[in-house]
Amino acid sequence: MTQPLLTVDGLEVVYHTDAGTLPALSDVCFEVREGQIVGVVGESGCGKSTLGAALLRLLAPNGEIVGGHVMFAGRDLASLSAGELRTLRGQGVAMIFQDPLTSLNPTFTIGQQMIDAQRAHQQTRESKSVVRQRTIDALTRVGIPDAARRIDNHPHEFSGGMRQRIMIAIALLHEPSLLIADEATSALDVTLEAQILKLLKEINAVHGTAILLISHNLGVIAEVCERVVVMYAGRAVEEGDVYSIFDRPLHPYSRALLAAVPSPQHRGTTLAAIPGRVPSLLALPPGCKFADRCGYAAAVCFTREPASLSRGGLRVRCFLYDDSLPEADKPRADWATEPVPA
Amino acid sequence: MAVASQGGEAAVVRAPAGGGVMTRLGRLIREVARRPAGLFGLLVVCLLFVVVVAAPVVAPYGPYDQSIVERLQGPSLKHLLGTDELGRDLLSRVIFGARIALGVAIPAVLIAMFVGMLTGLISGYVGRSVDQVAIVGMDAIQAFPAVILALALLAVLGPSLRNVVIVIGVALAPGYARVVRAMTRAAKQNQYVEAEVSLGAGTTRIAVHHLLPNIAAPLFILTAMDIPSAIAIEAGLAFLGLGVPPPSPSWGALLSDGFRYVLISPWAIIAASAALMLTTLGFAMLGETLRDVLDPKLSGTRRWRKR
Amino acid sequence: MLDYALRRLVMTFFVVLLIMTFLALLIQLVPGDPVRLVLGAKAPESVVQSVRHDMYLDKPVPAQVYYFFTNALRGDLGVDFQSQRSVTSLIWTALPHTAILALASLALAGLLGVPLGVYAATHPGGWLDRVTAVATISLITMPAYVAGLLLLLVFSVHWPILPATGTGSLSDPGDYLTHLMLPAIALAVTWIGYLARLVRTSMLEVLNERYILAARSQGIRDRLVVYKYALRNAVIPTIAVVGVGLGTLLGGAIFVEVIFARAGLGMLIYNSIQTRNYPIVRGGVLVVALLFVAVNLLTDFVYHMVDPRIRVSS
Repeated sequence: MTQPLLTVDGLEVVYHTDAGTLPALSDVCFEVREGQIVGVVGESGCGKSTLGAALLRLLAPNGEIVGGHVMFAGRDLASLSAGELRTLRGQGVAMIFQDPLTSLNPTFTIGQQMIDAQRAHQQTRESKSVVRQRTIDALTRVGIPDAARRIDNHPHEFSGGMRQRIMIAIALLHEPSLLIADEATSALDVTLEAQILKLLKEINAVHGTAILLISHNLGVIAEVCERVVVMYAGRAVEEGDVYSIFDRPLHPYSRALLAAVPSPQHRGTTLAAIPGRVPSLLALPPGCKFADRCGYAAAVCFTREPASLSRGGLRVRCFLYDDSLPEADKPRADWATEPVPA
Repeated sequence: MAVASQGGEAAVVRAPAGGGVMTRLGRLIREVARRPAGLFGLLVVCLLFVVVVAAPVVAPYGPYDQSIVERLQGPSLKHLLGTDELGRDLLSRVIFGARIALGVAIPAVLIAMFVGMLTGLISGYVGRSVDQVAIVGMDAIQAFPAVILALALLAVLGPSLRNVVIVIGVALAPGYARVVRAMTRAAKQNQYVEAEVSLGAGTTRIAVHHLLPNIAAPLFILTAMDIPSAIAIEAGLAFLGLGVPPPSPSWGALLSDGFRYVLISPWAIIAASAALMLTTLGFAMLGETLRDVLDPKLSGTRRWRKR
Repeated sequence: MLDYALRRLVMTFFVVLLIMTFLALLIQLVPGDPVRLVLGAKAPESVVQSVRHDMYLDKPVPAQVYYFFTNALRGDLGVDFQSQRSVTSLIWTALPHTAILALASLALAGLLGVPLGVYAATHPGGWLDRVTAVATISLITMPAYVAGLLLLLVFSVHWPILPATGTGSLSDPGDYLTHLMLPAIALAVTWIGYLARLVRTSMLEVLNERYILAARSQGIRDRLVVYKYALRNAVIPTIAVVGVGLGTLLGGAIFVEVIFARAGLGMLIYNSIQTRNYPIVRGGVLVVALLFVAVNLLTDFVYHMVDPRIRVSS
């Protein structure tokens, strides 16, 4: 088995605030293989955006990586110098963000921004016309019409969908191996979203670019991803291939999440919302963070935090599957049968 | 070079709201005192008030006690800050000068607040031509640097305590007017207000219920920053000879006297400058801290760790 | 954009109107007879009357305002009480020195303040940021006259390396410059603090914007990110405030000119107040106010032109 492109192992991230230290990410583990599309899904505040920023080591100044490793192409990112890190950003790993209006500098033309993005990784200074032509080509490839003229426009002169395409164009300039899409379609309407997702799938198919798709939208994840990581309160509670997760979710949270998605079949019935609220990061309960909202929790769930367990090709963080517990203490659920190995 | 940029969720947690006015005030003061800048500001302001109220007790001499024999001396055990050209103890003059500084600044700021708020409320609420006229007025007043406006008015009216207070009040009023006007206009369009109006709520209730709580914070901050401005303007006017008339120990007058004798003794200038700077610094720090506490967005970063 | 410009100009016109009316009426506030006050009780009545006539003081108040306007439009700001010199020519001679002083201070403040602000923003919480924060606040709160007096004390009295008084003559640039230095530094001192704070706050806001994060994620060098991307955006709000700050600068100039016995508009106004020469006071204050209004208008337009978002959406 070849080495995965990205390995996240036990990642711990905290934020230092006036009110205390917030544990934004705890013991997060997953991998992304070359050419794979992996989704990270969860509610707001579960830490998915922190994950994206942490991978490129671009956390806010009050954020700090306090544990774990992030390995990209075999190298531990913590061991990279500032210069090597900068080289990695944009070339090895590129990122696109949620709101394309705020991701582009409003006072510069998109041409200037793209030229800067190119020059950032050039050893020798290429001629202006070469760089400009490459910019035009990049824009045309993502579907911006009349690129040669529009290269001199400012971001606000484009529609939301086109701005996101521009962001993608910039991200692809140096043919990165991994593209991190942080809520890339959340600010777009449904039709635009479909177009962008189609574009992303194309990029993955044509260039073999791996994609880490971060979203709160289950539909988006289901459509595009091969593997999924489900996050809750800063922890990865389940990880597996997209079919297993969606057909036979193992973790009570994943199950509840999927059940909460309204569908025409449930017409006339009560909306299956998950009772309770996500715990505040300042006042996390001991034990499993989902215990107070879980319908299947046993006493142990409130006192100890479950470890991340392997089940075939899947990982799940729940005592339902912890065989080391005596049967009397173990939580029980009739649907929690052993999953078929992937 | 470390560059600050926002990665994702950096949670800002606010202190719990609610409680009566006094408890909220108490909480505010505690929040302010937690920060070193705020603590410094609070201490300075308290010191100032003590000095002003207890001036005759705190000052070693009277502000007008002359002693020609001891004129223009440097600091000594007898005169901690030295003496001026008439042998008056500088420390005492500085202490009594605080009375003039606050005695001018506080009424002036109060006038500015009152006039400004009234104008802002009416202008913001009534709108249209009244509003346009008010804006032209505010712009016109603010078109003059405060000192120049004060000079022009005092040149014709003649310098006196009353005139100085009024003139500074006029110069500072547009600041309050603008803030209140902006708030009033925003509140007018607020849907809560629309709802209440449709239910028959009177203008007073709307003003008290919706306006005042929103206004309190910016007004506090503005006042904290305006008091040192007023003090500085008064001292400046006194320096130019247009402040409260001599022999009043206004800090500006001390500066002006010191200026005349600068080649012989720098102590008057040093004493008055120190007093002015300490006071304005204290209020400014208080204002900054208030702004940090009441509106963290404006403060930038807080307690960052190195990457 | 044009619509906005028009509205702005109309408002400015009314503001100027109001200012001129106020100044024209100012002389009415003098208790007693302003001309008598200046010329003295011993001056013959005929002289007093002739001066009053020249000043339009024998006409009804609205007419005075009217004449003030029309004369001012022609550049005639009256003649002074005592020596019948043209106020306009007096101001004209004094103004350049004040203008040069203002520009020199601004330049000094910009050269020092902007980098300081950028540094403070890119090293938030560091010791230099904290020291700078305290230093800049104390500098901002330092009134111009305190700065001037302290500088005078240090550099002219105790350590005489720079001239304490006088303006020097423009025909001798070196001499003029040495005379300019202390006053310009005194004015710049308050400004450095102000600009540094402004730039710092603005930069911090900008640096928190997502497009800065995006640029960094593209691998663009931090230096470029800060000085090209962030600074351009941070400067825009700074421009808007420079206009306002100029008012304080002009106000401070009067102190600095008095302290350093430097010729200029401030000195002129100050002397005229002492001698109760109201026409000069009136004319001088008018020029200051008009200058301020003009600069504000200019910075407002520049601000709108520099920020392409506003340019397009207006």
